[in-house]
Amino acid sequence: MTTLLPVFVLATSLITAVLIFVLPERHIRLRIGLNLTAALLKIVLVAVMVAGIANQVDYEFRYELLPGIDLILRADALSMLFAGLSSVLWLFTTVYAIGYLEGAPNRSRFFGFFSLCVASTMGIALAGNLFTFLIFFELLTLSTYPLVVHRGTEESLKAGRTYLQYTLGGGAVLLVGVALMYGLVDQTGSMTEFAETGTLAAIPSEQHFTLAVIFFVLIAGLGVKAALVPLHGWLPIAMVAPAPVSALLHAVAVVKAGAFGIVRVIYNIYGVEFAWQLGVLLPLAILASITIIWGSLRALQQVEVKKRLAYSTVSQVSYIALGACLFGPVGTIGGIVHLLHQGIMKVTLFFCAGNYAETLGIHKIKDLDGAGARMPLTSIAFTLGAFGMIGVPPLAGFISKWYLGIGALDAGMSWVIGVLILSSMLNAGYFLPIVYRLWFKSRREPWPDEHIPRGRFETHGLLLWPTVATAVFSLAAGLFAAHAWSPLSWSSLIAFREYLP
Amino acid sequence: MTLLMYLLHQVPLPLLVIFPLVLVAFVHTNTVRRRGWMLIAAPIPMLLALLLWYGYGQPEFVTEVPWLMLGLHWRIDPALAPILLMTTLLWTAAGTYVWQQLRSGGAEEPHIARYLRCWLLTLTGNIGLLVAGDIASFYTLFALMTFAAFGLVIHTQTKNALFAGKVYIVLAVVGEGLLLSGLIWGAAHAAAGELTPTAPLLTHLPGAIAASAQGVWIALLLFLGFGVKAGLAGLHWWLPLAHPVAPTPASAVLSGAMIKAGLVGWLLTLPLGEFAAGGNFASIASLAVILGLVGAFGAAIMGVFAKKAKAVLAYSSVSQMGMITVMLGTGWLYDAAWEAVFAAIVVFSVHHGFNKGVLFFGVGWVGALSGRAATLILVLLLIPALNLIGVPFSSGEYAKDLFKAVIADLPVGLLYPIFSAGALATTALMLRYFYLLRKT
Amino acid sequence: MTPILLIIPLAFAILTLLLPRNWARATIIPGLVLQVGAAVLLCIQIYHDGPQDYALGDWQAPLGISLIADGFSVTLLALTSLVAALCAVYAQYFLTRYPREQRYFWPLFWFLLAALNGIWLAGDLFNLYVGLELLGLSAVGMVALTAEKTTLKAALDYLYAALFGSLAYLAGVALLYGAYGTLSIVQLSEMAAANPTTQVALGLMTVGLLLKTAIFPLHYWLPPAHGGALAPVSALLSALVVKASFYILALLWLDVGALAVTVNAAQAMGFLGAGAIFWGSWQAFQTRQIKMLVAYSTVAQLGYLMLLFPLAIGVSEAAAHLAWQGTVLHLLAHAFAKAAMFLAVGTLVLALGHGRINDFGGVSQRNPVALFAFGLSAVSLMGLPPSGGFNAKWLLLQSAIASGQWHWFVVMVIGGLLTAAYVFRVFRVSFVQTAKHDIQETHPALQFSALALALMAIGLGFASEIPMSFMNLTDFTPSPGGSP
Repeated sequence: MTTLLPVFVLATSLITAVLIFVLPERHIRLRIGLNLTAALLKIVLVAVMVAGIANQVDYEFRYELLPGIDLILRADALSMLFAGLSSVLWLFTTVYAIGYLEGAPNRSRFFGFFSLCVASTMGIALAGNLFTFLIFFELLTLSTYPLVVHRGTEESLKAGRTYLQYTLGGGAVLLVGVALMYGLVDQTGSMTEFAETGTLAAIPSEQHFTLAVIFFVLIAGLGVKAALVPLHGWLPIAMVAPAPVSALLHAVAVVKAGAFGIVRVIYNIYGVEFAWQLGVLLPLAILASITIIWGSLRALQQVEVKKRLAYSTVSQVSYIALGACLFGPVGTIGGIVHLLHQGIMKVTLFFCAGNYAETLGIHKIKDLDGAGARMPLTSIAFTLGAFGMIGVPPLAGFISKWYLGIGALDAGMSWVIGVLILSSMLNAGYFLPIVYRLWFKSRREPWPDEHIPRGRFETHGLLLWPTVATAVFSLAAGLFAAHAWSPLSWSSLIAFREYLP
Repeated sequence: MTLLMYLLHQVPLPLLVIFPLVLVAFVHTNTVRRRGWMLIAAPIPMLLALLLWYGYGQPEFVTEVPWLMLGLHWRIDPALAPILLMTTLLWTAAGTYVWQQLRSGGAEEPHIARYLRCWLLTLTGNIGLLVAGDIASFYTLFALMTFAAFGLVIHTQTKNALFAGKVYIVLAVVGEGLLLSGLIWGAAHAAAGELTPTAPLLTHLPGAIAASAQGVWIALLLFLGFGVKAGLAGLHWWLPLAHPVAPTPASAVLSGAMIKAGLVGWLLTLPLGEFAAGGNFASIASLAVILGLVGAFGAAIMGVFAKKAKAVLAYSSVSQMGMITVMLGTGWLYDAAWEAVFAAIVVFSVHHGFNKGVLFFGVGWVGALSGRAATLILVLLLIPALNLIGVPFSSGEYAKDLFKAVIADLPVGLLYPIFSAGALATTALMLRYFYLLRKT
Repeated sequence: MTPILLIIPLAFAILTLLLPRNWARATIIPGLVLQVGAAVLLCIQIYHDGPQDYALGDWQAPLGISLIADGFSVTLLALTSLVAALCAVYAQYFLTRYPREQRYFWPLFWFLLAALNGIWLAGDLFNLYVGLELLGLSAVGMVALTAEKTTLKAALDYLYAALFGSLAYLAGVALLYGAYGTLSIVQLSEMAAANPTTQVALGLMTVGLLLKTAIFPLHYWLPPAHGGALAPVSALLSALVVKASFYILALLWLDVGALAVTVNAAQAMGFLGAGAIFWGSWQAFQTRQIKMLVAYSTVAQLGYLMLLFPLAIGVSEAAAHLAWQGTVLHLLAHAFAKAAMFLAVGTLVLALGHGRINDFGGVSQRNPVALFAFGLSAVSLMGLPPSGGFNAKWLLLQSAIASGQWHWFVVMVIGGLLTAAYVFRVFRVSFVQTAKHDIQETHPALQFSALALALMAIGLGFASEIPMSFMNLTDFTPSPGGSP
């Protein structure tokens, strides 16, 4: 059982994807039932594994793909964080997407690739070595492209092309990095297996330069998906995708895969201590900081809701990379926990943006005036998400910033505090005007394009409840941060294991 | 009475703080005019608990919830309890004012429900931060108060109100930023060595800052961060803008209670007293004295030229807070005298909170009444005004004397006469206040 | 056991030629079953007993016809039977619209199979020549099936190329025979020395084979021939036929002439390969017809095969071994993927009635399976994981790293991106929702035979161990030799 459980977790969405592809377009109920059952099943399986990991059970599946190179699916504490996030958000985004795409064409294709995309993130979460990671990383590119261009309009096709140029390019760079790692450093295949506290510390010093070069090649490859400046160009353009896709892309799938990869490389390949000695963390931290500030500055200039959120993602995801660069357990906790916190907050914000667009036809920020009165729950959710992003307590974002800040000081990089605070202020600069428009401006003209009239709820129930649920999560993650079952506590467990001698 | 005793020990502080938040859920646009009583009810539980607590001789009163936030630690701090009492009373009084307005059909503004929600949120933050003992929840409630008060400032939605709101929020965000960086920096030192720092207690902060090599910078960040709220000269710009445009009761709590939150922040986090020994913080302390004096007199000059009674009161608040800042700076410089200065500061702030609150209400009363009743009110308003000036036998005199007694023994040179001259500034402002009030 | 694999296709070729049309159709399935069954049996036998030599009529070399069945040849045999079987299934349904062509398709099909099997099993250079001739002629015949003006011209070009290639090859064979008195591969590999005669002979044969393999810049005949032929024919040609001449080329360079080839020559071959990758990809990116796109893709993909020579000659044994494994895997993966792609494209063209890429809108709704098959095979061609193509690329990259030949490393990485560039042109338009005109449904068998091949290309990514374990049964391993 302990060998097959990771496979089952992967299979829940992989098999679902295949079944959905096979199922003809008209079997709507069956498809929904299948999708939701699989999503729930996955959550149960992940929960079982989380409980197992907490009790030091090893889940590992191995299969030799090429001589000396294994496909490894292994669950450790870090992978469960990502797997947990993606399984929970799969459920919510699926529910949301069902409501969002009601009556739209090509739903079979959409949900099929959607499941495939989740399967890829699951594979990324469970990947036990660089090679396996690479496989699922590329699979993710392939499965998200159809989602980005789903609408099939000229604009989305163009966006899809940009998306591919970036992600396939990044994938190729990552392939180079991984191939170099195997070819130059690791002939046995054991050093590229993810291990707590890293594997490379014993490499003789004449290879250190090579290792540093490979490090940056890997980061460049991963950085495209993680939207590190200047590799972030695809992200705002990919906003043409339907809202649930944007939500998934920004919260778990693509950008997180990149960030997660960076964390993996630093902690489980190089080992944070070794990477620190190698001197590669400081440049990355500076790059991440530049990204944080740059993303925020660009977000300020945007007039569309989704574009602003997109640049906000550019900025926020780099917190994870930044946290990973802070040598010391507290910074590690901050980076890792932000992986999850950013996910739930950003998914909330995108759900809200989707709700405004679907219900009232609002795409531009200036049209949001007075939307708070018309859609109170959505607007409360948006407000919570926005304040969380700014880092206002007791929301999840505050916890991340708190730990990142203290971690930076522990690592002796006090300038990071300045970055954090400046970014918080810029976040406030671009989120507070939206919140202000929602609640404090009154509506004078009619809504741009009201599709869904006010019924029992402010909008379609399937659009509303996932939004509310994720908003509650982002509040709860901060409010109960010190609780034993909070993301923070789990991240502490991870950090604890990473720094164990 | 044993039952009450039991309750006092068993009812956790968070419930008292959360109570107004629960009320927020019951504010509805349709019924809001009949629910004005909620504003009175909101601070009542805390007020009762506080009175009971005084009644039972100030026992130790701590609630710890380790799984909430970064470990919740809330307590009633005996030293700050007077400020807490003043705050709750002022909020109750201001709530009554709003209730009365609503009942009498005043406050015809369209966004009355939003107003009530913001009111309750601000109230939660303001009262809560006075009992919050750990950094995280303190900052949480501080931020809640800051952001929710925006709704009070811009409530009337006039052009001036919107502008004031903008200035307010920009300064508030800058302040929060300075504050958060200072708190994180301090917390990092307070929690050094621990693997998972749950938020340290506020009481650990001064010592950690004092022990840190960059303590001066941390202290500066905190000083400026709280200074925004406390109306520190240079960061005070929002006060004279916000007070004239905010509804009268809101101005009262802004000036009487919320402005003290900044002061409480200073008192709790800065390395004062024994931690200032050795003169490490003399530079900031001197800065505090200088900025305090600038505030005390500069605001008076500005206030005399103000066109609205409430603006005058706002400048008066800046001026009074300037005096408190002078007191704080002096106490900071002379750590041996800190105990006495601290007592003086607490008394002064309670005195200022009550009197300033009443003066603000007065603006509303005079505006609402006419004829003889208005005149009567004007006469009655002389009491708080004289109190503020500090005429003999007033609370103002008592508060100032406490401080003067301290500095009389210190080698502070001209500070004594200058501080005494503060009364002149206040007098000028009060004259301007009555002049403007009579005109309306 | 071994000769059966020659006898079955030849027998069925004659059968289908002689029997009336309906009867001929009925023989296809039994023929395929026999063929696949025999290939599998041979595989099992080789797996258990190791490589086998078989002298036809017990005439030993140098005079007789000897057949060699080792791990490599049975792998290729199995590949041939599998791909051919699925193409045949496809052809059965596809050709219902082409009754006249059907008449001649099946005999040619079986001759082609016989020729391929003959080449895989041949033990001497002359047998290879015979196989090559037969292969070329049947392939040209298949291209010419539709007898349209354009395809006839393409077939004629192909014929000239095939003939000229064979002639050059034959001249080389004659030279070698004159010099060493034998054509047996085993014997020659021990005797051939680095003298001018050998090198001229090898040069002649190489040029002929490069022409037949359509390696840049001698690829001119391939795109029109492969792009113009009927879909199952294109699949067979691209997946299998060009591989046969490459197989001989590899034999010549790494086995027969291992002692005579130089590193510089090998590098030159690599540069041809790189040229093929870039030129083919660029052309595929430019063309408007989908079948031409796939055909140019073949030109590009054949370039990767050429990288075997620089990567395996004049380097360490480990690097050469990796290169060899990678090339074999690439050959297999490309065969599956390209066959799948041609079949899928054939289906799409059938459904749309045209092959203009820019007017592919709406095709995803009506022919999702075919499009999906195209997608999966594209994954393998791009070298993205998980697929056989990826594993092949990985091994080749590792080989380049191991021998420090970074220029080939770069070529391969860029090549993958170029492949993506032209493949995604097709995906891109397939997401356009609105169809410009009517799109027909196609028979599920057409779609699913393509899908099956595509799945094999992907599955090879998980089952690379199987061909590799067979490869270990070959005594034909690349020699690390080669004089500088």
